[in-house]
Amino acid sequence: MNHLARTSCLAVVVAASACGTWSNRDLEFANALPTASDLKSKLPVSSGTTSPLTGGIMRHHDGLNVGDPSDAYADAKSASTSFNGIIDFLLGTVDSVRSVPPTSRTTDSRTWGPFTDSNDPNARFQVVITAQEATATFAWSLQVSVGSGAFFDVVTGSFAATTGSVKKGQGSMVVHVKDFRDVLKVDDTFKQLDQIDVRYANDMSPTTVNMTFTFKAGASSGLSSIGYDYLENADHSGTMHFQLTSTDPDITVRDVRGGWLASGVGRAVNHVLQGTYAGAMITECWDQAFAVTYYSESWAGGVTNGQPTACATIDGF
Amino acid sequence: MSSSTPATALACLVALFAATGAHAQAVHRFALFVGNNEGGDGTQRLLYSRDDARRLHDVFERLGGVQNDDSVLMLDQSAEDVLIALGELERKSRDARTRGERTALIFYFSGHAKDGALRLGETKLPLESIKSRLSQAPADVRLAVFDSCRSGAATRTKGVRRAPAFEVETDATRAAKGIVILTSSAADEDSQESDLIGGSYFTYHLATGLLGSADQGGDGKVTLSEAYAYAYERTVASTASSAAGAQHPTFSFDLAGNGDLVLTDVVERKEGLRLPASAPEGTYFIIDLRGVVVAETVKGESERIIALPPGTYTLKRRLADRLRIGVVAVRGGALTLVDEGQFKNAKFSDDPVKGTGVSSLYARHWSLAASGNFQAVFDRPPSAGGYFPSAPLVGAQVTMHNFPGRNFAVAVDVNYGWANATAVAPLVGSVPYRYTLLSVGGALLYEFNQDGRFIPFGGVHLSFNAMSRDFTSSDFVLPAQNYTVLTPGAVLGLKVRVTKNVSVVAQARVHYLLYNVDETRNLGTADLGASIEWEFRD
Repeated sequence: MNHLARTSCLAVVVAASACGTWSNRDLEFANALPTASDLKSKLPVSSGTTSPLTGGIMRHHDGLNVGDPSDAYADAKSASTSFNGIIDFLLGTVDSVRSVPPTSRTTDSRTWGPFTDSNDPNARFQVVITAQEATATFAWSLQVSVGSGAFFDVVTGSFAATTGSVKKGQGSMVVHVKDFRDVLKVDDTFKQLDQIDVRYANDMSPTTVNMTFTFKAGASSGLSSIGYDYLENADHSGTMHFQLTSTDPDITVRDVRGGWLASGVGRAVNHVLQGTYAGAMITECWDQAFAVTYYSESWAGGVTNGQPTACATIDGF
Repeated sequence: MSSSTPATALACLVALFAATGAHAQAVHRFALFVGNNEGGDGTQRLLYSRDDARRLHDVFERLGGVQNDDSVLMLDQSAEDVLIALGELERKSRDARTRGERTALIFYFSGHAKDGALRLGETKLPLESIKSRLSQAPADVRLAVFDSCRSGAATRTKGVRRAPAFEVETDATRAAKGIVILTSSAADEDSQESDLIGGSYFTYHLATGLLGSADQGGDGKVTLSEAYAYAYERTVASTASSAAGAQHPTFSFDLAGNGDLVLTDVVERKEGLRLPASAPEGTYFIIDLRGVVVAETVKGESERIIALPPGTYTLKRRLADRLRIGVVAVRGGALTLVDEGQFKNAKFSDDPVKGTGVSSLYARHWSLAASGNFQAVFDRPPSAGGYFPSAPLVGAQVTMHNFPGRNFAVAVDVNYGWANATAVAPLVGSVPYRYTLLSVGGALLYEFNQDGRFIPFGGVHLSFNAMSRDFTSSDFVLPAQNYTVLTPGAVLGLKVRVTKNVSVVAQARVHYLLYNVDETRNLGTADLGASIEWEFRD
């Protein structure tokens, strides 16, 4: 074997031996996938002296006195928990995919999977991320295949990264519930939905998350859509705003807006925008212990306890 | 020209020289001693050629009437240098003859001979050329001693391959006069070395004969014929049971009219050992402080004098069931009387002869080393977008020395490295991680100067690297990343022998590192480190 042949042989062996997942570029692709913690709302945490959060976003109480546990905080916290749970559900698969290296790579894409769905052995899923050439924008999708069928999009998203910052940027995703609710094993809640739209931005202060849940026509909940906006400042003060649209003729559109300081002090306004009770509004303020400091019902004969001056000043209110 | 078997050669020689007698002191002697362990391409390094030349040089200067100004010791010199030195001695001899002096020119060579030429490193000195040169040298007597051979596969012999040995010229029709040629072995034989005597058998026996052991006449003078007869007998006896077979020195001469030549006078200097006539007969071995046999003599009925330089020696007699061992000191200008009655009995296992141990350096043996290294990567640092960080390594290496051949070594090493580093991707920024490297490698090395204290070495190295990084950021959970690759490279180093078995080694390795995940990059690594090595050998 001459020198050239030996060298060539060695080069082949070296090249064949070189393999692995060592990739700086993978970091950028993985960075494009949202994590649940990116999108979750973070309300001030009760020290344990508040009332148990027994209500939901439809909860409604009348005539609170000063010093009572704040129902508005409880509603906000409950809403936060509900939305966070939905985020966990939506991104659970994405998070699990991110915990393993990509299955395949091209210059502009990474693919994880296909993997068998642990909840449905008949279904396979994969995540594909594609980088937009020469930009910091990535498009990604969670795709599912049932049986021998072709992969279709379950979730699609995009992310515009902010250069040089881990997990910082602006992103969006669309959960195409309408396309999979009848072919995949999903929770009953999802069977009421057509689509979920999410937009988020964490590359500036405040960080924001906006979600819109669009229900299918004739949903059993009577809701047609829920809008949810979450804003968090650098000092951990923030606001939460959600709007519920229902077929209830008395409260067709209800707007709930809550805000809090980093100390936990906050206020909320519950406002009926459409329906028989349109214009009705409840304003509620609470202290660091989440106890009511001011309560006011806007309609004639409504209850008012405490003074408006007891409410903290919060941006947006 | 006459020649040949010892019996006929000596008979002719004695008859030839009988008329003139022997007169060492009447001849102005010039001597050139050449020793070269290296024989160039196709030969293996010899161990004792330089020592052989030193030994003969010392004997002739102390006892052989060669003045320091008239003797040249050339170790590891080229053929050209040797011829220049020879020319200078020839000039001196010519001048002496012009002054009416009788002269003798002695040429001694120990080293490789192959394909009809003496080998001096990478240079060659054709035998015919040197013989012709000596035949025509302006000296009354020319004595050439060639301790070299062509050789077979045995590592303890000189030379490397079977080929027609250079012929000792015996052509009786040659015109040259006054030349004697001794060779260490016959035409088809190897010349052999021994650790126990620290030299070649032939030179050792020739030298020890010149110290007095060959003085059959008992007059304190060792003549050429006595020295050759002794060297022949003892060389044959010493090598008869060796793996390479018996070695038969040869003798050729053309000394008509010149008489026998006294080579050494062992009584004139009066320095050495005197075995009185009353001492038990038999073979006495004289051992220096290293445990190397520097001389031996067969004591007969008469007194025996062995000329030795000052020093402390152990004398050994070997009996059928035990050893007799005594220690004597030789002082300058005095003959030390040996009283065998003062010797002590010893078991064979307590034999003071240790040998030089040099050959064990060249024997196949293992070593184990523990090392510390620092590996630098030829790439941008990870903080600037590079792929792999530099890291300290700890490791171990097992080496088989003198495999697959003398001076070669095959090594297997394992190294583990670690570092905390930061990966930087343009869109992500800095992501800290913990880096680990496991490297398993093999090397084919060549070690120079194994019998020295400083042993340079170099070779090729191939390692299999398995690299991993675990990201430690709490807000960016990522799976560990791995990369494996074969990295061919080279190694250079220097081993410094601290004790017989322990060495400190400094070495540098460079490797080619192929990266091919995000892109194809030709990278490299450089490992600098030190290790402590333990060699498992006697």
